[in-house]
Amino acid sequence: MRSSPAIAAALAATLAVPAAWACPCGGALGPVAPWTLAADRVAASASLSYQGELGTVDARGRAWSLPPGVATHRALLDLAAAWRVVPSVELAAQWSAAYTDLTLPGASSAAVTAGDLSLRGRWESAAPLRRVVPQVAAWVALRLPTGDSGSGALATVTGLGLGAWEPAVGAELRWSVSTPVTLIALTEVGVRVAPLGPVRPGVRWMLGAAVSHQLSSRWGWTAALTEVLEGEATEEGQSVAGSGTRRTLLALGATTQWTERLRTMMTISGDVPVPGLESNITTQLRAGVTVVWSQ
Amino acid sequence: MKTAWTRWLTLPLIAALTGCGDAGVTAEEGALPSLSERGTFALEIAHDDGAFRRGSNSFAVRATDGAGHAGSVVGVSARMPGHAHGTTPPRIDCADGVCRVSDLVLAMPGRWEITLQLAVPGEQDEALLAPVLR
Repeated sequence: MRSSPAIAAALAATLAVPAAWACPCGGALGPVAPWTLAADRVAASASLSYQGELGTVDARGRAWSLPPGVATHRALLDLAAAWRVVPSVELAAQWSAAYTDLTLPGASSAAVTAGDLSLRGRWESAAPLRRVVPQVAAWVALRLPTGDSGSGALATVTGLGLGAWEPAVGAELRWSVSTPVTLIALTEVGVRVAPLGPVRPGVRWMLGAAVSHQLSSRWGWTAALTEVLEGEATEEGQSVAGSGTRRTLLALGATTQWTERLRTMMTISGDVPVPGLESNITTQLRAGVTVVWSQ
Repeated sequence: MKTAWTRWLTLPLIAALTGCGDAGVTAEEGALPSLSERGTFALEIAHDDGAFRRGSNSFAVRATDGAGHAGSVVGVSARMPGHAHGTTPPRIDCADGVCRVSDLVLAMPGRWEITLQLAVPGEQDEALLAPVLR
C-alpha cells in the first residue's frame, strides 16, 4: 500500500500541466479567440471563406427551405492584426469585406461591401499550474459602424455592417484537462447603440463551449458549439415583437502549425438542424481557411 | 478522404434544414386588411403571385370610399420592424379605379410592414399590410 505522501506526489504529477502548446481554437471559436499565443508579440491573419444560405427559421422556430429562385452566396475576407502588449494583454483589430451574389425572384444583386471595424483588448491570467484550475480571460470590445449597412432594396442583405455601435464584454475559462485536450467555456454580451434613427437593435448574448485536441506538435482540431441570442429591438422605447433571434452554430476547425511562425486553420460551420433550437434567422453554411503569421 | 468527410458533415445538415418545410411564402391572418386604418376606404388587394414573397412583388389595389369613389394609391413604403431599414420605393400606376404597385423588393425573410397611402379629393388614409416572408 502506497503512503499518503506518495499518493499526493502522484496526484500532483497528474494534475500538473505539461509543456504549453498552441491551442488551435481560433478558427472554430471565431473572432472572440486570441490571435497571439503567450510567447508571441504580434500576429496578423487573413481568412477567406465561402458562406451560402440554406434556408430560414421563422420566429416560431420552424425551419423552411429556400423559396424557389432565392440564393445568397458570399465570399468573405477577414483581416486581423494583434499586438500582445504585455504577456497577459492582447490588443486586436479586425475588419471584413465580402463579395455577395444575391438572387431573388425578379431581383438580383452582386456587390462588394466593407464590414465594420472591431477593436478588442483581452486580458488573460497566467497558465495555471494545476489542471483543475482554469485559465481565465476577459475582454472588452468595440464594433464601430464603419461598414456598409446601407439603404435601398438589397443593401441590407449584401451589406456587412451592423449599422450601430456595439460595445461588448466577454469572459472565458480554459481548462487543460490532459496533455493534448483543452476545454473552453466563454460568454460575451454586446449592447447595440444605434447611431441614427429610432430603432435600436437588441442586446446580443453569446455562449460558447469548445473542445480542442492537439493530435501532434503540428496538427490539432477543435469543435465548438455557440449559441447567439439577440433580444428584441426597441423602437422609440417600445419593444418590437418578433424581432429577436436565436442561432446555434456548430463549428469544426483543423489547425496546422507549418513553421514556428505560420499556421493555417480550416473551418466549417453551420446551424444545428434541431427543430425549435433557433428562431428568426437565415440558416447558413460557411467554410474557409485562415492563415496566421505570428512572432 | 476529405471529400467523404465533408459530405458526411454537410449533407445531413442540408437535408435536415431543407426538408422541414414547404418553400415559399406566408401571410399571417390580417396581413391584408379589408379596410384602411380609419375606415375611409374598403380595400381589395390582389397579389400577382398569390402572396408576398422574397424578391420583387407586384400587386393591385382597389380602394373605394363610402360614396363609391375610387381612391388612389399615392405612396407605398415598406420596412422591417426591428431592423433599421426599408426598401426602395416601388412603381405605382393608377388607372380605371385600380392602382398597380410594381417591383416592391422585399429582400429578407421575416415580418415586413407595407404602408399604402390612399387618397381621394378631400380625404386621405393609410393601410398597413404585414406579410411574413420565409
